[in-house]
Amino acid sequence: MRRIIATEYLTLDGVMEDPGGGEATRYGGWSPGFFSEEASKFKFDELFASDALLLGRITYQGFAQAWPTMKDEQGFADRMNGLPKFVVSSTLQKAGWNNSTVIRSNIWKEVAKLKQQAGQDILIAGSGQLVRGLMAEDLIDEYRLMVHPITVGGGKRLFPEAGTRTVLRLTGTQVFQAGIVVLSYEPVRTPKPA
Amino acid sequence: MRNVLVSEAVTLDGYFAGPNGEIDWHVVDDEFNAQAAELLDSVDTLLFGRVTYQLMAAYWPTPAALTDDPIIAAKMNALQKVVFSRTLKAADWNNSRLASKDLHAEITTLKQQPGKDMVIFGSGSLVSQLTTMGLLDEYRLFIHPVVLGAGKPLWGNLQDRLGLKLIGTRAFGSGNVLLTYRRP
Repeated sequence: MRRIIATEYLTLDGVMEDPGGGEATRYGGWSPGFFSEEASKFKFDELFASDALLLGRITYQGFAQAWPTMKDEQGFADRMNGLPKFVVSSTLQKAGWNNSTVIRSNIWKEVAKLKQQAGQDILIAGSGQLVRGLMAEDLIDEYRLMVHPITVGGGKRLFPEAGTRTVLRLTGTQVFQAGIVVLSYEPVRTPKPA
Repeated sequence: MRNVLVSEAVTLDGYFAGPNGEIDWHVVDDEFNAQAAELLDSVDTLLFGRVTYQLMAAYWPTPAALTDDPIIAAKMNALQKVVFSRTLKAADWNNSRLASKDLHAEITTLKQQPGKDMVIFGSGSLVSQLTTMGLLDEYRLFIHPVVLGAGKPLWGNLQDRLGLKLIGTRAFGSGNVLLTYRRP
């Protein structure tokens, strides 16, 4: 079974809103100063270990605007543009980015079906609302939190604010040059009684 | 000039306590206590807000604490303590005093006195005010592998961006990760 991996840019105060600043939101634009060669390699490795992107509408639209015109020697942009993309949205009319499919209904069932297919990892980036939904359904197999050394004081937060406690298991830590720490977690799943 | 350090348990969603002050998710094990003992040896003063002071004053001097955590208890009881509170009339835990000046003046004065560094545990409101005043030098955040879904946010009252410098990380067997930052 394929694994669903949520890879997230995060501030110290738990905000995931528009890290790059491309959406020009009030709290966005906090990540660019911290990118490094190590971070770039990390993003490269996880993209090439994945063969599908699963995205919420807002992140999808941001990506769909940025990536098609990008080009790099390593082939990162080519892979972003080439991979199958699944965008979860009930309102999106058109998903024009190459190789995109809209999941409009039966979301959790459709995502569970994707997991059953053979292949590499399924990668979610950003897409806060989708992550919270998948988390509640226990469909995420790994969280990679790129904690940036900054607080931004507001904005969209990654984790649900529903008052439910979730315990995760730490599986790894990595430290990058400019102060990003990647914390990796997996869900704690109790085996079903026989 | 001596530094003010902060040592905080934080959840993955950025809370230092649950909505009603719950801290039952804190993991305190031998590995944690070993670093706590080391930290306590590097300071000579503990700074507290009222809530954390009262919690700790009700625990560390008790026979239970002296039996279960003798090393930490001895250090916690012996160190100088300064409590910041507008409502507290007395601070009876050994070697405690109430701050006499306003927060900014008291901390600035303390920092200029000779001595070892000072540390704050918990005391979310105090940490938040001192962060805004730019008076905290080092943040030691124990990121616990738990999402609470609600609670008291460590960085909740900060309006402006605060960029910090990562100076160390350490993963604990419990699943906690200690992230240490300094004010740039």
